[in-house]
Amino acid sequence: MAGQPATVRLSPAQEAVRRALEGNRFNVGQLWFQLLLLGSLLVVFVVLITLLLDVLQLGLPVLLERGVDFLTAGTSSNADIAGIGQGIFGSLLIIMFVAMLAFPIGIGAAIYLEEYAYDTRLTRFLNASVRNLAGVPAIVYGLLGLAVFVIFLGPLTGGRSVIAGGLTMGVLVLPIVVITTAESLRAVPQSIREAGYGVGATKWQVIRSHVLPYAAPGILTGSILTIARAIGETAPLILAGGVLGGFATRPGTGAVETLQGPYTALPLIIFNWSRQPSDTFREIAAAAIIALLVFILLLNATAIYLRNRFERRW
Amino acid sequence: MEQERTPAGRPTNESAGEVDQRDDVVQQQLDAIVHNAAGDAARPEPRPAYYASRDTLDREMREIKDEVLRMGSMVAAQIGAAIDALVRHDPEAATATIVGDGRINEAQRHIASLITTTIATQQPVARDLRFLLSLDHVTYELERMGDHAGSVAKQARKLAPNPPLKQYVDLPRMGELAAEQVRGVLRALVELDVDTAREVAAKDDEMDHLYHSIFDDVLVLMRADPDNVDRGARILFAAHYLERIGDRVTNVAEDVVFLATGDIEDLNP
Amino acid sequence: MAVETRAEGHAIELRPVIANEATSVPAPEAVFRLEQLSCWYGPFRAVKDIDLAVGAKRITAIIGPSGTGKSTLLRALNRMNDLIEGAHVTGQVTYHGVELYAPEVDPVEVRRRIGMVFQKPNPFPKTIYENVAFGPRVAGVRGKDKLDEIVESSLRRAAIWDEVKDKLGSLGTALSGGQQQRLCIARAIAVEPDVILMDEPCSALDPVATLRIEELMWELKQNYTIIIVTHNMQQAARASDETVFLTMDEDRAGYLVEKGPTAQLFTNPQNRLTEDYVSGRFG
Repeated sequence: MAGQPATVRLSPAQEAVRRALEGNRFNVGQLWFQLLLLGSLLVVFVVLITLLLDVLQLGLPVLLERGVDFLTAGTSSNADIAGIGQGIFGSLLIIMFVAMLAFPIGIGAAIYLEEYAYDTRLTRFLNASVRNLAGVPAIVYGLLGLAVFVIFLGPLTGGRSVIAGGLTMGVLVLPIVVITTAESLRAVPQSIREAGYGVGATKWQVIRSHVLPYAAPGILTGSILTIARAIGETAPLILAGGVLGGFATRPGTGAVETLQGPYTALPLIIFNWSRQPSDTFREIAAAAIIALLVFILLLNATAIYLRNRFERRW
Repeated sequence: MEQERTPAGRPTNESAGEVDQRDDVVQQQLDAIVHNAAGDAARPEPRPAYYASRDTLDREMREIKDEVLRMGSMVAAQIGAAIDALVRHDPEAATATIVGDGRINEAQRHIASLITTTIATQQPVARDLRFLLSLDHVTYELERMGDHAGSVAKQARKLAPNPPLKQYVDLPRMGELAAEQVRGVLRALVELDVDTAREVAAKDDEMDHLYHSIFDDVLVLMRADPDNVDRGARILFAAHYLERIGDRVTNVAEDVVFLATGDIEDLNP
Repeated sequence: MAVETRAEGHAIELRPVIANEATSVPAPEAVFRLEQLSCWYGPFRAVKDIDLAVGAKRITAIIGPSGTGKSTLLRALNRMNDLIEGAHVTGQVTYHGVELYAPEVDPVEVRRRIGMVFQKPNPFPKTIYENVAFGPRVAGVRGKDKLDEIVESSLRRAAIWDEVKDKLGSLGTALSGGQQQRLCIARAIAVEPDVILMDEPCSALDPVATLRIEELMWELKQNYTIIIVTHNMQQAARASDETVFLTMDEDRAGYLVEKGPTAQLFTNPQNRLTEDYVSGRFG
């Protein structure tokens, strides 16, 4: 029979099958559920937008007006010329301390816990402790920093200095570094390790040549996110002494003296300015917040970019 | 005419159809033995607790075994019929027997095809494989036995128009023995009974003895009178074919031993 | 009925050889000798009282139902079980007369001489070159020329050189399953082992790749002793000289039921359990 039409007559049995397959595509319950979830998303979105709009509305004019000057100028009691230059400098120094302290020690500890330690009660206790430490509120670390780095190690650190602040932040993020590194190491398939041992490599050779490279993207991403966190924490820095300060930048001040002297950081500046009664200070505080957000955004973007780049390689 | 008894003990004026009925009775008896045997076709002994059977393979092997037994009873019947036709000088019976060999050949082809298919699709090893290979060989031997019976029938047809050379005593005895041997070795096959197989093989001596006896008797008769030579020669051929059947039965007995033990023994040195 | 074995290339005696003793291999040729070897994971005994001699330059297959400790036994031979916490052995494993589990023996050296190919191909996520070169490097080989030579010869002996010679710099994980497994074999060969242990090497591969690897095993046999654990009965029948059958006892420990030439185990096994297992009638 030539020229059959596109729609074919189905037998009763086939008709039953078709109806069964098509099912009840319009399901009211499912629709309500979807709407509910969409609503939740909208709430989050609205909160986010509100936050951003509020900040942008206050601070953007300042940035646009003063531009780079805002980013480089030092602190001042005059809102019109105060800038976040010292804050950026302080934050960068803190990042440096965090990197020097938390990364080697944290990664090393994680490697030991994951690769070398036997599964004893002690090991499990250590793991649990690290996890608990990660959840300890930042202000507690501030107290720790105050007691140990500011007071006890005062002679070394110079008291309320950026060294003390940096070390405090380092200790704060240390558990997080250990945890994210441990997670990355755990994600390395056991088959890779076995293959390494199978050709007669020692434990360290297997870790160095195969486990770490495989876990590197994860560790890297974790590290960058840790830095992003470290930049934003304010409470510990308050306790460790960066509230009222600014760096001693008189010409002729040596590096060590600068490090041992008073300091500030970006979140501290924001904290300070937002406490001032003047409206202008609130505006520049908002501008500083924008700067901080941009900074963190850039760090996160870098983390994602690097992770994607490394992941493609595997 | 007084009802003569054939070597198989049947009344001589039975038709071919009634002969088939007798075949069926014997077949049923053999069927009973097979299905009563514990376990599957190649393993008559009881199964241990962990056993997980291979239903398809077992079913196919049982089917092949049944077919072989059916073929075997056909062969035994053919032997009886051939000797019967010869002793009674009955040309129609002889012809019927010759034609009947076709069924045996057909059976052999069918079984060979089943065995090949089973081996290809089920990949049997060890005892199962030995089982199938042995049965392949057994059907080959049975088919040749059928041919020999047919050859005896051909001699019967040639002898039929003439009066018998002598009173047939040893020849019917040989035929009876041959049919008995075939049935005996098939029983050994069903039950994988090595002792029965050896007994059957040993009995081949009696076959040889009968053959020599016929040979001597006929030779005397042929030397006495040249007119006897035609008939004498044909009788000698018939006896020779029966003797070959006996040898082939011994081969089947050796297969049974191989199947049961994995050893290859020469039962007829 | 004569049965041919591939190994010997001529018909074996018609009367089958009864080989149910652990020492069916003449003494000077045995690479491994296991005496009452039991492998434990903590308090649980996975394998018990194995007495076995493994002959040199032949392929020995270990077969048996799941969970009977075949892999455990294999991994005990190159001390891979050491990596598992709580794993230990009792009894003795001697390798060319040397007791493998003696305290002064270095497991790293053991694994250099007794290589392993795993069930799921596990090339390193690095280049093909790096995959093969890693072993020699950690063994102390220096110099690009030397390494190049080793890489090429290993890839050749693993019958994969022609397929990868133009892409040594590409990722090992980008190859097909069968190729990856041959790469893993090349990697194992690169350190010049004496023995190659294979733990179900073809179970993740398609039939064609499987047959290629079996062919490769026959070639490798000339230079290496090969022990393969396999679930695939036909593979054991096709691709080995000797077969060892393990099964589980009531205490869930694996024990050795029968060992003998492959041809014999598959045509006329001595033990009822072996017969039922190779015939596929074992649960």
